[in-house]
Amino acid sequence: MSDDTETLTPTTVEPRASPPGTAVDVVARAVDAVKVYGKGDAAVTALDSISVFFRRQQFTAIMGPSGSGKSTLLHCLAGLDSLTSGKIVIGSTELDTLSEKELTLLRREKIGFIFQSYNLVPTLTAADNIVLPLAIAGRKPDPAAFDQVVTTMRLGDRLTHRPGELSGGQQQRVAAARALVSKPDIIFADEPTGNLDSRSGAELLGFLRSAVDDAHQTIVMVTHDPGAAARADRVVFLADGKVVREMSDPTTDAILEYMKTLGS
Amino acid sequence: MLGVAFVSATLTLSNGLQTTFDNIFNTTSTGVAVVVRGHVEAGGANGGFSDAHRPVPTSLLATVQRVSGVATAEGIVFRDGAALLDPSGKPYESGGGPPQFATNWIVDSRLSPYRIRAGAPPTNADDVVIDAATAAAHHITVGQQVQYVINGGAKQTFVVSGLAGYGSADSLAGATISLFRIDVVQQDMGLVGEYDQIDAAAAPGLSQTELRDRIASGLPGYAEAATEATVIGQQVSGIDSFFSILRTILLIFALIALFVGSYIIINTFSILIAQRTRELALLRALGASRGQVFRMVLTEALITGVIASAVGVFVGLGLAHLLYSALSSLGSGLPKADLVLQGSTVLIGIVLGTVITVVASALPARKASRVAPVEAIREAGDAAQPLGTRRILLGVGVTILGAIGIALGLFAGTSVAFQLLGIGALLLYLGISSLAPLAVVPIAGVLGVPIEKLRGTPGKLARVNAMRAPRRAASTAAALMIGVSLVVGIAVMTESAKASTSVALQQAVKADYMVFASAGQGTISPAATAALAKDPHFSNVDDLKSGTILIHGSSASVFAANPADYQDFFTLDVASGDPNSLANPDTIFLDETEASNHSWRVGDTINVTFPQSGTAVRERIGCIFNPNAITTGYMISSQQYAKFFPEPQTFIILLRAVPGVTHNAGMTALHQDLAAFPTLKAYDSASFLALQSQSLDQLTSAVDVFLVMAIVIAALGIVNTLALSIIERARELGLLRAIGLTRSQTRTMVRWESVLIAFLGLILRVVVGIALGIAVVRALAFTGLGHVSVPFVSLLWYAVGALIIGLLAAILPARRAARLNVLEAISTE
Repeated sequence: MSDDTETLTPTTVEPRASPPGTAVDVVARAVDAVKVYGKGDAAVTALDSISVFFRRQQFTAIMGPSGSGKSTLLHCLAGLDSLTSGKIVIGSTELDTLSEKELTLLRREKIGFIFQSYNLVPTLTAADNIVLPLAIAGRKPDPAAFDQVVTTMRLGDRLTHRPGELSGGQQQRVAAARALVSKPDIIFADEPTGNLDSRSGAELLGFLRSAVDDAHQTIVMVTHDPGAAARADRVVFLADGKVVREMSDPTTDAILEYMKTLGS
Repeated sequence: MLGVAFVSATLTLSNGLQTTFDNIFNTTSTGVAVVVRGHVEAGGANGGFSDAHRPVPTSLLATVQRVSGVATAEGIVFRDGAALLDPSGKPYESGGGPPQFATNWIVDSRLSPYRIRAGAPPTNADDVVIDAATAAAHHITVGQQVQYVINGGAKQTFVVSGLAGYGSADSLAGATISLFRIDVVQQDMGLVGEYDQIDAAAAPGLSQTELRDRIASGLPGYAEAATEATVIGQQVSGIDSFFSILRTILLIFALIALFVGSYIIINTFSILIAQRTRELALLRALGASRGQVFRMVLTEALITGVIASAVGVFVGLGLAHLLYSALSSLGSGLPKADLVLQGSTVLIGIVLGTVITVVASALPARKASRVAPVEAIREAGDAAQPLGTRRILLGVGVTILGAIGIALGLFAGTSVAFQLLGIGALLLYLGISSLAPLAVVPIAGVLGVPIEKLRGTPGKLARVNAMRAPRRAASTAAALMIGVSLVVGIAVMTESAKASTSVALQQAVKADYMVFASAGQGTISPAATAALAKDPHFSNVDDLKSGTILIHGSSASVFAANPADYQDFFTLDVASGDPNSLANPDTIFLDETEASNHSWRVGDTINVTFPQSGTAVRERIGCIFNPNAITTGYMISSQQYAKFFPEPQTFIILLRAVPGVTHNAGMTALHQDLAAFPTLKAYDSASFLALQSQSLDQLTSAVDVFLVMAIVIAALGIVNTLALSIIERARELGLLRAIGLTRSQTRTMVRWESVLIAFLGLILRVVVGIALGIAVVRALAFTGLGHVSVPFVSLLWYAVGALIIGLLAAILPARRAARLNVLEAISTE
């Protein structure tokens, strides 16, 4: 708990200032990450030598115009897609050295996901969906952790419902609970509020914020919404596959202002 | 497509065979105007194709020849049972092959269909003319010596005096024809002084009917005259009815295949439409009317149907060849057929296949037309509709109707029993498959528990996936059910038949050895019995003879045994009466089935007509016995038989070995004695039993050929459903993979879902199949199939089979699921 204050204090991080691998509290980082789709004339460079890192117990938003490479970056960081060159390190593991199976296990053990379209398993109840990653791994969920997540997400009376019987906001809260319950090293959220109305969206962001503040989770969120990004500790702006700016303690207005200069 | 292949194979095969036969009979009788023959011998059959007529005395020929308007007339003897032997003395045809006719050379070419191709007609007693096709097949040339066993007699040597064609053809549809001098064939066939028929040609300008009337007016009471046209008509209709039975059986299988196929089509289209909901909704949003969407899906089905059916027709042609060889290896004595793909078959195949495809896709198409435009924008939801009450009621109603049909078929005990059974079974299937979705959730729920225990979360996911679309799972399972419940049904039937046969025979047969001719090899010569009786190895040798009698005007089969010793060879399974009373004058025994059909009891007196001698006798029932493979129908003493059957037919020789003669020594002696009678085969009780069940095994294997096809179709159905539902669930699978489901866990999940569906089908089908099998066995009880036996071992195999089918069917879909690109799957918008 001693370093609470340090991590809660937004810090301006200059990536080149901290040599890679030295910071103990860096959970994930990309080093000279390049991703090229297609070949020859049709080749599109989605990530153009990006280096960025994410600290423990920090809530980072990634923003950028459409086609800036923010989703690709998220997918590569999460081990769902592979880089053309460069490397991704989660904890102390380099992803490109892993086999397909090891990658799967890493996702299962260390990474949580929240998707724009909830992506719950329609045949399972909310409770089953929440414990699904643990069940797949053959582990029993820690009852205390489960109760805590369910309480935080205010899902206590919805556990036996199937996704079809829940509202969008409730479904996304189930998805968030699923990402949180296994206490992963890092949670990747891809436009988590994209399908929600503004009230549910704000509610969800509140939960994510408190997951970082109270439950010491680490969250990386891709978003279009300056309002959502303003809830993060730090915003990383991408354009044309490059990191063009970082902003600590962002405000909606500052973000909007900067986004205008990016022409989106 | 496979269903169509089935239908067109069936039609091609039966058309081919029928055309062949039609051609034969149309070319056979050129030049002959009127046929004079005896009256129909009730129940007798000539080669199985047409009614057998009593022979007429040779003296009748002169009468016919004297009729004015008869240009020429000749007597004809034409019988099956002239086995041609190869140089080593064994028959070329080992039995069960095409018929081997012996007939006389017809002198006047106006009456004869035979045309000499080489050499000369038979003039000496040891001359023979052989059909050109047989001669070519066995490299027989003019002047060569050949050996025959005619009508089960001893070996005889003939000289080939010539080779003949049958009209312009080399042979009569693959049959062997041997032409002898008339007196020779009369002698060998036991028809001295008799002809099978007299053929007459008309003087120029005289019609067939006019000549027939002139001849008929002068005929004695025992003979009749028929125009050639009538005779051909009778022969052709005989063949038609034979083939219509065959065709019916094959078509039933084909229809089952189509039925199964239509389930798969419905499934496939439903899934395709579910997948394209967005696309369809977009079309609707852009202004396409419901009718347009409906027509679009139907047009797609139409095109698919036409293409698949066309392919099916050609596959069917190949299948027809396969079926044909399967059938001829079964020994059904089919002639070599020209398998012609007729225009009508192609048309029927394509039309049927297309219509079924379109009709089967109508339901999904209707669903497609109901897609609301807003669904283009909405996230595709979980569309598990509950079963409507109407559907449940309808399903229950149809099931009950089916059960009633089966029950009626069982207990009506009439000729319509089979039809009722068939319709009942069909209704039962329809009913059960419409109710099956109700069973899916509980069955998958229960079966899934051990899988979940065993396989953890992938197992659980497999279970919930199998349960998620009960209708789809049910119709996939039902497709499997239909095919395999028939296998089970037939397995129960044949197993029961086997059990009945062997139990009955083991108890009944006391003879050490039995001798009889293979099917289509004629009967047993009395000389054979005499030769065996002289062998010192055997203490007791006697034969059983068979024939046809008329009971109240309808024909029945009778066998005759020697009252003095028959109980040394077999015991009658006596139901009532005294088995020792066979020697009493005018006494007849009969089996329990006949007795109960007529409500007769021991001591009753019945009217029996012996058509061979034309005598009617009042016989007293001395004993009623339970039938088995040897003893069925009616039984009389050999003394009565000798009196009433001028043309005796021995069907089996029974032997008891002298005490002290080993089994092998007896067999060796038997083989030596039978060397002169190459058409006869010796059996001991073990090989006899094996022979009995062998024919049943052959039946099973023939049926299995069709059913394997049905199962293949059903397995394809599972593959289809799984593959499509994996595409449909790509997003969900992507999610599972993203949150840490490994590839092998993914495969496990799909595999067990498949196994669950297969097992679901298994449970449905085993229940239905066993019920059906028992029903049929009960319905057939009157034929001596009393013993119901459920083949548990086979059932176990079917369970293993279901597991394997499930696993095999899952291979491709599982691989596909595992290979799924996670990123694409989850980012599919």
